[in-house]
Amino acid sequence: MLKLKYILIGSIAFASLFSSCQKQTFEKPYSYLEPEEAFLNAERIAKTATGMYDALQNRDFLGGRALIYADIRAIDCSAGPYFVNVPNYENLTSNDLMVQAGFVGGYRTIYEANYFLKNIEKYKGRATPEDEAKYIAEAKFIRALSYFYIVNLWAQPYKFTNEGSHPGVALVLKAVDPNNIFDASNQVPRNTVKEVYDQIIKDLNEALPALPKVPATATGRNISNVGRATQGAVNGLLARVYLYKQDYTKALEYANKVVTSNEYTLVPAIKDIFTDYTTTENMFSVAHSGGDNPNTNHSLSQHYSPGGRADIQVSPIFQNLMSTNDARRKDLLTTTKDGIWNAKYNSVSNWVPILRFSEILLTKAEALANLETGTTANVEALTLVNQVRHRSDPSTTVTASNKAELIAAVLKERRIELAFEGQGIYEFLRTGRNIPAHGIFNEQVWGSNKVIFPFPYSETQQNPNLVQNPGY
Amino acid sequence: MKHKLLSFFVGSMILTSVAFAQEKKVSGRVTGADGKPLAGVTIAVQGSSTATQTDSNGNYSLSVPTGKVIVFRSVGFADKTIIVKEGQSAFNVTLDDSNRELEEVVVTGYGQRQIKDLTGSQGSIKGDKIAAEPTLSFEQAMSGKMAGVQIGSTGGTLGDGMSVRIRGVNSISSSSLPLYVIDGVPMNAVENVNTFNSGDGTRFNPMAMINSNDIESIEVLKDAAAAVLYGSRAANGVILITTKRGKNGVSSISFESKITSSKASKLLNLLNGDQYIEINNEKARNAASKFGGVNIIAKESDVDGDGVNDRTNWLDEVYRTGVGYDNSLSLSSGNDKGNFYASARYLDQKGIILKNQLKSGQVRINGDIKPVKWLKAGVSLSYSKTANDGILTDRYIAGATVAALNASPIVAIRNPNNIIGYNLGANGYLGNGNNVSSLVANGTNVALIGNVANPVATLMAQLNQNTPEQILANGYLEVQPIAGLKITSKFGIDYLNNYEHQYSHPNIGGLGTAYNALIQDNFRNRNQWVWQNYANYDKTFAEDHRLSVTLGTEYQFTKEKNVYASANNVGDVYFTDILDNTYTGTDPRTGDILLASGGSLFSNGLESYFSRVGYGYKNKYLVDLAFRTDAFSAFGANSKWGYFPSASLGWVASEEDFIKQYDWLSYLKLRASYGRVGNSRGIGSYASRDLYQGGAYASLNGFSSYQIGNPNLKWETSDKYDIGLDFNIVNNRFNFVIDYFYNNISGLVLKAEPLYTTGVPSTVLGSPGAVFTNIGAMTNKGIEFTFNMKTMERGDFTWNTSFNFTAISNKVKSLVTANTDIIDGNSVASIGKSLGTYKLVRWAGVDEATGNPMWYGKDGNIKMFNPDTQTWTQDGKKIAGLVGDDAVYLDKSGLPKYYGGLDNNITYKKFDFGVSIVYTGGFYVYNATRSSLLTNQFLNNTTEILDRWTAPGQKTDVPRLFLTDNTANRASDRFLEKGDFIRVRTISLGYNFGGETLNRVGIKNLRLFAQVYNPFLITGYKGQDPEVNSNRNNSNIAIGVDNRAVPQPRTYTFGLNVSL
Repeated sequence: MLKLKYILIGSIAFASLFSSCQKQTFEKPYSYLEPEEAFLNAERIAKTATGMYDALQNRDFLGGRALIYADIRAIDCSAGPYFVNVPNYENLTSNDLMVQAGFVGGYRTIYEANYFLKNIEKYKGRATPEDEAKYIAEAKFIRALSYFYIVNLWAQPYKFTNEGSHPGVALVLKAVDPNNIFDASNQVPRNTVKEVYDQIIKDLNEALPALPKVPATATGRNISNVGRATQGAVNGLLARVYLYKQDYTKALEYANKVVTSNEYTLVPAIKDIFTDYTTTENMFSVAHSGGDNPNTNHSLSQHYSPGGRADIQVSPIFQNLMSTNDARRKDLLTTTKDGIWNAKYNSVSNWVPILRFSEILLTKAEALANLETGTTANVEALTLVNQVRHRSDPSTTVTASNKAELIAAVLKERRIELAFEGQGIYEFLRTGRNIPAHGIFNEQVWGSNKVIFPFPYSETQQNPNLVQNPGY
Repeated sequence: MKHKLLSFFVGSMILTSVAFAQEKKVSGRVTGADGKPLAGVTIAVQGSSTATQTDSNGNYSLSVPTGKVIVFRSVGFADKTIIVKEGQSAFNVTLDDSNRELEEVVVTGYGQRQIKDLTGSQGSIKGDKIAAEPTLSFEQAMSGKMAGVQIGSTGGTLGDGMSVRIRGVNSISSSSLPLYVIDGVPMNAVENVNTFNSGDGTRFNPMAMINSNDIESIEVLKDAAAAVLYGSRAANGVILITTKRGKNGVSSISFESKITSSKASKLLNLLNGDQYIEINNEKARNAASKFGGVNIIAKESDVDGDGVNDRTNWLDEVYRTGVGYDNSLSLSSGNDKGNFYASARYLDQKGIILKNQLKSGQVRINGDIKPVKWLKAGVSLSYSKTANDGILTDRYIAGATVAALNASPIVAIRNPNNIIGYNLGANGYLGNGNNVSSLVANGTNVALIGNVANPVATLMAQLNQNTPEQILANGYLEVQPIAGLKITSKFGIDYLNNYEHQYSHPNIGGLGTAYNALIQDNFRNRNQWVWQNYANYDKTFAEDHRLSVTLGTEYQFTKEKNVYASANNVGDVYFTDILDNTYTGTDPRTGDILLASGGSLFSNGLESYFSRVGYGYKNKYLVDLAFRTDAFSAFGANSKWGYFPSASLGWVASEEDFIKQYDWLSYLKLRASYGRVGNSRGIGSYASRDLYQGGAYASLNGFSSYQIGNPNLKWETSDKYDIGLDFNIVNNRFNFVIDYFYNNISGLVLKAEPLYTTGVPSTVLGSPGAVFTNIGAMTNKGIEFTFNMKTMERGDFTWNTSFNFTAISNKVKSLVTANTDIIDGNSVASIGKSLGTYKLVRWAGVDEATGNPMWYGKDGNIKMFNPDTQTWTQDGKKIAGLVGDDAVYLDKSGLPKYYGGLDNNITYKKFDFGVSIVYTGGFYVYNATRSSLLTNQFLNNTTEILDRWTAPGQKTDVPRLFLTDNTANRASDRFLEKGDFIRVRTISLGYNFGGETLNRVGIKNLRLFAQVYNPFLITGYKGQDPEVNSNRNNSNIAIGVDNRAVPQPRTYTFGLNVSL
């Protein structure tokens, strides 16, 4: 009997051990927010909008690499073994992991904008209409900016065919539906270059009205306006987009919008642009802090600076484009025992420069020079070029006796002024020029296959609608 | 753990006792049926606490009151009882092991079972086999010891990870490591406690924290019938570790001391200084047309100022002989009411590379009490702490093994003019002396050398330390309300802590120079608790019917926190820790404040219910049914629960009368099992959810997307089939175990990469975005064969042999998109092919006329590259070069087709001698070390480069040298090599001093031994070691990659073992 009682008590005690424990063991994520939480209220939505710029810092794309790839494939610097085949036209293949990472990084940035656009629609009304419109505009700016770099790295320039009818890159304008993520509907074909440019222009035009202007004075400028989309940044980017399209009328129009807004000026000392980041000359940069770039392999300064990894050396030919008085030679190049180095980036917290006012002046000059009928050198254009030149080097003056010389002079000044700011190879491609032989690499004829990147091999394998660039 | 089912008072009919007995000394020798002496047999006086053990020669002596019964008891043997009578003092006893198969019990999931009842495939290894090897973690010592279990070493630094694969690789993107269970409690699934350098820096395997001397036995559960009670975590197999406990009637103290000396087993042959000058100047000469005619780049230097030209053999400088010692002590005692086991160990080992050193202290207390017949309770508690001075090696550009291979042999280690005395350039990397570091080509500077760390300076001036601590503890209460029923409640924790500390010196290139010294610390704290409640019921009805039932629940909760901090712009090299006011935390070049802290936090939970019913009829016919269900917090809301059943059958044919007539057949059992188990290891804690994370943009706070979740995410399921045959012949002299297995894995949890254009986020920095999905299927099938033999027995001479062989084949059945492979480096997962199949461009050799390298295009056409013109030609016509499609599937994989081991143990009088061999075959290694050491950069090379093409008509496989050309050595099957090898793992020799004299002073055992670990490797592989895998467990696809890893050591051990 006694034994039975023990069994009974024991069984009850034992049975009680079987009760569910899920409350104790299944916890909510501590480190992450579900979309509902991230769009909970106006304050949260503001932060989620900021997060799109976090995505813009993608270390394989506009965190710096997209700029580097354009410059190390051009002629003014040479990349060490770290970049393997990226600068080596003949031997670059579709298996290249750096090119793949860049492609992934670009579309990753676009996804963030698309995903934000999807969620802001879903959680409509939680932020003020003005703020919602501003965030949507920022998403479109980020998307347009990313597409601009992608289309120029992976597709031939606009003028490769009449009206850009050759293959560009795939336009993905909606965040993928998680339930159909492997669906064939995601196997998008390439849009034409024209379609991509049109979309960029459309996004930028739609973004423009809802965006703020920068504060009038330098003191009000900071990451929230120079590091984020503004009307000035949109107009400046449009000027560049039209310039790359060789639509000089439109390029001039948008360059003029920037100039006449009187929001931007050239700062006296060019080196300040690369240490202050929010001068009246800086129009848009991808901001960085010491927390964004904690490692050795993914910041501009690590690759360029002799105090960093020192992967990229500047060519002596480039140095000699400038007189010894030129501030861009004195302050923005460093010479050590091992070579010449680009000194624009000296800190891991360097902002990545995207747009600054001197480019707008040179874009305006180039547009004017090209729009000049006949063979005369446009006087205003020459003045603009010298405005840029004299800021850094009052001792020399650019001259041009005819239109062709003037255009060459503008391009030369751009080459000097914007060196290592991510436009190197495009300066050749967009203007129909061959890329001269440099280093151990042969001349690359304009329009030849390998001046643009391959699509990643696995992407072409997975997407039968994606046509690989010829030669890869 | 194999031990006798503790059947107290088994010989109860001999309980007649004689009153007023006299104490009497008895002694004798215990042997097995084969006449071989048995060591460690417990001899206990029934009804008292008096007991002893036999020494290594089987001798014993003890004082017994006359008329008392003494019991001889040993693992794997039937008990023997003897009544001590007046006038008798010598008892030579033979223990009978003929029925051991029936009596032995083994540890299984949530309990113990008799071997005769087992219907699943389960292997076991005795702890002493493990402890005998000089390996830090016990898994490594399991190599070759068991069919179906493949242990891969990943490198020769101390505490580096192991790859453990039970019956093949059973996952593609989840982990393929098994579940580890210690004393019944599942352990943390952590492969590397360190986080710096994305886990590629100093690696440390937490299994190295377990004192292998504490291990009583290891059981490996291989098929579903054996492992199903671990349900969702059983697909990769389960390893049950059982630690030692005190034995009834035995009090003993045992001490072991070992001294080890290790050296790299093989190093590559690099060019010496003169060869380096010749080769590198030839690279320049051949490319002089590109570099303005410069044809001398390697020039003699005297950096260290000793008046002679510098010559440095960097491998000699970096590798060394590592000496270590390892002392351990254990105490144990036990009686009817309880027992305890306690141990302590301290080891200090220097690695085979400069600076690499590990010190570890480990303690353990295990105890059980049994105050009343129906209640038993106990604890197991261990604590260990290790201080590891690690080093950076492969996968890290400043790693010692990478830098030492590349560094110029004609510059010195030291430079008296340098601020810290090492030969360092302005950027903190190895100074180039008079070597030309860059040349002008076409007006552009071209770097020839890049950044090569000074290997010695990097090792000596910097720190890569980690200090892990682990507490493994459990307590249980077992109630036995009625005979045969045991109800157990057990609570266990695995508490793992790691402090990681990295110091980058301000004068050493890399983080140190960039940040004017950088000190990084990471605190990792991971705790896992497990609470199990289960009941086991074992009963025999009407003699012929045996029933065993298990029913239980288990809850598991894991939480991990990491906190990171760093200090930079440090005031002085004197300070190498994060200390108040010793650093500014600002960018040394610009004064910008740098963020210096961070962290992460996650948890996951598992809730489970399980049951098992086993039935045996007449010990002949066996049926086992089991079921487990698990809910895992990481899985989707729609599929939290997974269900895992298994069924198995056994037939002990040797019990049948029609077979009993065959005398030569001692035992024959047929087994068959089917079950479905799952895999959840490696799946992120919140993989099923759409999530945002902190997304700060410089100084602005924000949120950005973290991952796309899959609400339907569920277990990866593995349907496992096994047919087995166990038989012993010729009086159990030959024992065979043969298994055929077939694993059909479906719903593979693939960390699948959608099209890159979707832009989905990635949770892993630097990897394309991925989504966990249950798409994909794969099979593993194979045969296991184990053979144990008492090879020879002649008087004092015994020789035992055990051999095992496993053949396995893998096939990928489906993936996310039919024609899309999962690519990892040069290997793929591709439908219809074995995992790890290589896909490479095929090498067509060197053109005899020009020395230019050639490859086959997809269609077999030959494409040749001319570095002079930087152009590609095919049949003399200019072409675009190699394209992505030129890489083709090769019918070669990094996965071995077969592997196994052979052990021979011989004893002769007081000597024992053993040789242990492992072998692996049918696999290919991509020798990336070889390709990188044929480089055309201005770096050092292996002597293979001396075969380079120099004159028309020369037949060679090494193309004409051409400075900076990296195309010649591009990835192709030129570097794919057969990896097959036979390794003699250990040769050991021991001598036992045991005997009467020592026994008299109470020394039961005194053994001196010597062992050499990894003495020989027989292989056609050209690299250091085909067993080294650069990707460790991080890839199930790129399995066989050798990329400048540290070779495995060859270790000499001398040791002493004393027990009282």
